Amino acid sequence: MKRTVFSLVFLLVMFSLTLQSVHSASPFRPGPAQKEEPVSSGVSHLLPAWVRDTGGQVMGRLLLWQAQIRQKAGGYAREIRENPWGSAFWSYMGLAFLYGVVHAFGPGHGKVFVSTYFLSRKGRVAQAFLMGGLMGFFHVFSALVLVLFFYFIMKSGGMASVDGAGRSLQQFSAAMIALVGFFLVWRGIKALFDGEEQGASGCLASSHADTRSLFSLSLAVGMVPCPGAALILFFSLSLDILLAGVLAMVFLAAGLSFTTSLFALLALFARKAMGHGRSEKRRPPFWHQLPPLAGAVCITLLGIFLFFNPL
Amino acid sequence: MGKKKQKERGLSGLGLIFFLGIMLWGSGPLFAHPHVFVQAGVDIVLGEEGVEGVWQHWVFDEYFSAWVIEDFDLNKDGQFCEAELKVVYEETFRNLENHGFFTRILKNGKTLPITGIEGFAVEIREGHAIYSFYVPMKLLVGSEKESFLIAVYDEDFYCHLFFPPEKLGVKGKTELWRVESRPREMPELAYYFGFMNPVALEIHVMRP
Repeated sequence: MKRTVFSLVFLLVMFSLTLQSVHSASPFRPGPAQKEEPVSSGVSHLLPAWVRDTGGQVMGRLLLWQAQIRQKAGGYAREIRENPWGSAFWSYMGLAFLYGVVHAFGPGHGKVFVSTYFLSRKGRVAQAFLMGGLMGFFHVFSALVLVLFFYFIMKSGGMASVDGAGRSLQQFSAAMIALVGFFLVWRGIKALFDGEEQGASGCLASSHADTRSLFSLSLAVGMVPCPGAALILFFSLSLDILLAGVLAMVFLAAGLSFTTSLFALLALFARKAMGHGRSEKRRPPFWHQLPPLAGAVCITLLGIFLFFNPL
Repeated sequence: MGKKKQKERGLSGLGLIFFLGIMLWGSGPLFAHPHVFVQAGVDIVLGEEGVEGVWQHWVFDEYFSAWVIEDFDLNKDGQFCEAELKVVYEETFRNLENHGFFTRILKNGKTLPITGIEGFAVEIREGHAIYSFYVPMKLLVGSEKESFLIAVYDEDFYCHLFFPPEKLGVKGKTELWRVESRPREMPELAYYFGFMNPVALEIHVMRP
């Protein structure tokens, strides 16, 4: 029970942290007039200094790596234009993967959703990889489709149109997230009061990760195009190395997926280490059904929040 | 039995640490992280009475630059004529007014309002788009010296601006003034859960 309370408290903490900064649209593009007063991070003072310092050092390192990778990749891209299948091609692919890994370590890319999902319900390692993989690939695939669509079919310019479509997709994604969340909440409530869903293992089905909800949530979150991927693809197009650009997107997606899956695995491990994994042999008490429900509520509220605060 | 319990407790503690770590790191902005990198340079402009404004020069990474060049240098002459510049301004810069042009100027702990910018220009150099613009400000310097801070950063973290530059540029009536500057970390302006500390340029202007 103590661990369940911890789970609930941390889910709520995570939720409140997340609501503080959900900006995603390009600030360079025209948007609704809204004067923004610069504000310092609202929760930073609540964190111990060593957490802030360590986080700052990690972020600084990640930023530097990303800038260096992008700079090197730019050089290889130009070499590919001269010699399409030379060593630069594989270097470009390798750096795209590496960039994906490092890029996804920063904020965003659905880590909050995979963490919430796997912290609040029991899952398997394969499911963690599946969700991380799906989210990463959807995120890049969405950018790929939009860039190619606007560039070749609409011929309406590159990033400006992609960014506009991305804003619309963000709101649609938020609505989808909320819907998936509602579905999970409904299942959670049903499981709390109705023993019919009890599975063979003795646990209620709602406290387990399942392919349908996992896929739906991955699609809902991942459909928002990754601006970083769109910029890299557009850069490749501007150099007239379309094939290399498209293949680089596959490697980039693999890199993003790798990191997102890692977070999913960590969430699985954290849950197991906290003792939730030991409840298989007997029917879990009422309390053990609360984290999945709380997780589902968090996902729903986040979706609603994002829907009404499209940024 | 005691050892087993101890082990379980240890695992639980470890789990909690992981849990907290995931919460903190994974709960950042949902879809935002730096997608654009900018090297920001700054020149202060001196007049008869003190500081009159600040010129900024932003060198964008080649990915963002590719978009600007491809989409807005329509005649592909490597330059932005007046008509092209107007479109670049409207499509890629004007909205930054809502973000204070990523610029924060502080004097005695108070933020000086940035009412607008002037002289927006874009040039292309070695595949990089470089935006230049002037931020007017009025800082009268009496008999003593005056000091102010300038920080350039994007709180939303969509882009990361490398600031301050190694060297501060000085323009205008340079013969009338002595200028000193040094970088200063600004933990009070920390963003992204306090993980990102902007580094401001602390500028002192005085009579020689």
